[in-house]
Amino acid sequence: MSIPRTACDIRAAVAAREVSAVEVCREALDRITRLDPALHAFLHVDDKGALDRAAELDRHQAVNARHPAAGAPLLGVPVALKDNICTASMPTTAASRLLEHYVPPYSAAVVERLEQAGAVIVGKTNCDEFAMGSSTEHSAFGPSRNPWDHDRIPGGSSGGSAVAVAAGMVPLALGSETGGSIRQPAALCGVLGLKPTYGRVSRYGLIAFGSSLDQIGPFARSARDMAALFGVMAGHDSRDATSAPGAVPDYTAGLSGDIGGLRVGVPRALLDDGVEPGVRDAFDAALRELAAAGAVLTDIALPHAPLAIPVYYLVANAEASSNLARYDGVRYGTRAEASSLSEMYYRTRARFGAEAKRRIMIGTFVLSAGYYDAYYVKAQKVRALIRKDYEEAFTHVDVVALPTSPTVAFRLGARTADPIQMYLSDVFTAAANLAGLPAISIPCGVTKENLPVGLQLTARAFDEGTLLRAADVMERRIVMPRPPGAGSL
Amino acid sequence: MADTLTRADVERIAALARLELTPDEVTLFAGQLTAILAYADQVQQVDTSGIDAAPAASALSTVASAEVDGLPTIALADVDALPAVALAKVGAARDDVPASSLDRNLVLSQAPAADSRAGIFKVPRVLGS
Repeated sequence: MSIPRTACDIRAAVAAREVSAVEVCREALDRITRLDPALHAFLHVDDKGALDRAAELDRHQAVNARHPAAGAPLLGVPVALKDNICTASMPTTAASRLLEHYVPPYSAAVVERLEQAGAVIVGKTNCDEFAMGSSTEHSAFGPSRNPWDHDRIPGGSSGGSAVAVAAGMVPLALGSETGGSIRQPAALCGVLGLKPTYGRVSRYGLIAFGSSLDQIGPFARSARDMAALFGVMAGHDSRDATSAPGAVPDYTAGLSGDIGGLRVGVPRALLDDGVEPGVRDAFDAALRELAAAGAVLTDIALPHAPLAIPVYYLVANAEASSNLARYDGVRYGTRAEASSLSEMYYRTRARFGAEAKRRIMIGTFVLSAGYYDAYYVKAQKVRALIRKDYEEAFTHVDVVALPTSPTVAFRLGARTADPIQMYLSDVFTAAANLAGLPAISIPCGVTKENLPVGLQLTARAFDEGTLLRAADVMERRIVMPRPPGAGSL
Repeated sequence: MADTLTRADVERIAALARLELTPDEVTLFAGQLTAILAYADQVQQVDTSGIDAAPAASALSTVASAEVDGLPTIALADVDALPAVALAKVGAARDDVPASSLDRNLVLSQAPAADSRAGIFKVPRVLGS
């Protein structure tokens, strides 16, 4: 039997002992070996650890054949993790020189959950340093490449995870978001990416960037696979003080294929500025598909949404400057030799890349005496207005639709000299982080130059189920081509 | 109130953050930080009178809006302008139960310099020279 391509089929085949977890793992590792030299999705591939783990699962299956895979919804499924998610058995660098050889003393809560569900973690994926960027070009270890066009960026910061899934190296991967770092690369690589509600997934073991914004979320090629993974990830964890209690629904059971009557709000005023024609065409076609599937489209206003980027870069950088203060060369990570403690701090922290330094500088400035009220407190007040816009919209619609990114994947180097242009990659995504809401990017076609476009839907807090249901419906209606060279997936 | 940052401003901020910058970085950041702050200055034009600073995207407020049981309701007006993280912790305080922590030697093994027998991290000289 050939190796199935989807997580759900892999799980079923391994549970039925039609294929072994080792065979599935080898296939994923072979694909990584073949494709990754050109794409650079991975910073670390744990061949031996993954194969050992798969063999252990196969042995367990042989012993427990009468109870196949009970409680193991990801049995034998290869998964890749963004390299800012701590793994006790693998390096975790956050794509930074400061953590170049760091192996954490513990694994993140999501890693524990994946392992309990029978997943096989194959490696760690590239990203912008400390998840700060929209292209992976801020990785200290070099950028990843977009599988649709190797001269273009895959998006970021979770670009490596998006590439690994889009190129079929793994069916599932995890990324993290602070302002769009899952959804934007998902859109630019033509896969599904979900930013969960703030508090839905434990951040224990996620390297912190902007603590009032950060969330871990999944990448997948199908809504069914994503539902299976997200059901494993979601849920309360007492080790994350911001983790939300409350039951986790059965997301797979919620994929009814029916979005009849779903009220979709479209904030049309936001589309007037800076959206590329090819993106606009694909977005309009996606709206027509939603309507054809029975959804009801309504124009809405989000008057403060254009302020999301300036608010985001004040709030996120203030929090980043605080979170990155811990990289001082004392307790972990790398240290620059120096003759005094003070000099050691300065010289060690000189190893941050340009973008991390820029953000530490902005954050330090806006939190400094005399500027805190004018910048940070003011930004938090405008943030409250952005959130109120969504609360108002959700009194008469169920989801809000926008393109995920105003542009398709841009060329390497196109935005590195202009930080504000890079920041505008997140113009449609940052508001969901500021408001704490769940949002998904759904592949909705390609432009004339054969580059993918993403449809973004944002829902009420804890209503990821509606986003997955809509993604499942769109997947049945919009046939997405595969990236050139990825073969059949 | 967009501020123009001089090289001296950049050096002062870098010192607050214990960042060593090259002369080229100081020049680059003086221009870029000025541009970024000018861009962010849009927020100053917004009328926020009567608005409390967002308690951030805290579990508290998002959970409250989803009507999930188990969290205390806290009047947001009481906590205006509190940093996001502080508020989030208010929302989800857990019981203070003793539990095991990370193994000391495992933690020390990741330090650039440590003495596991003494149980200490080692740093360069702090006083004198």
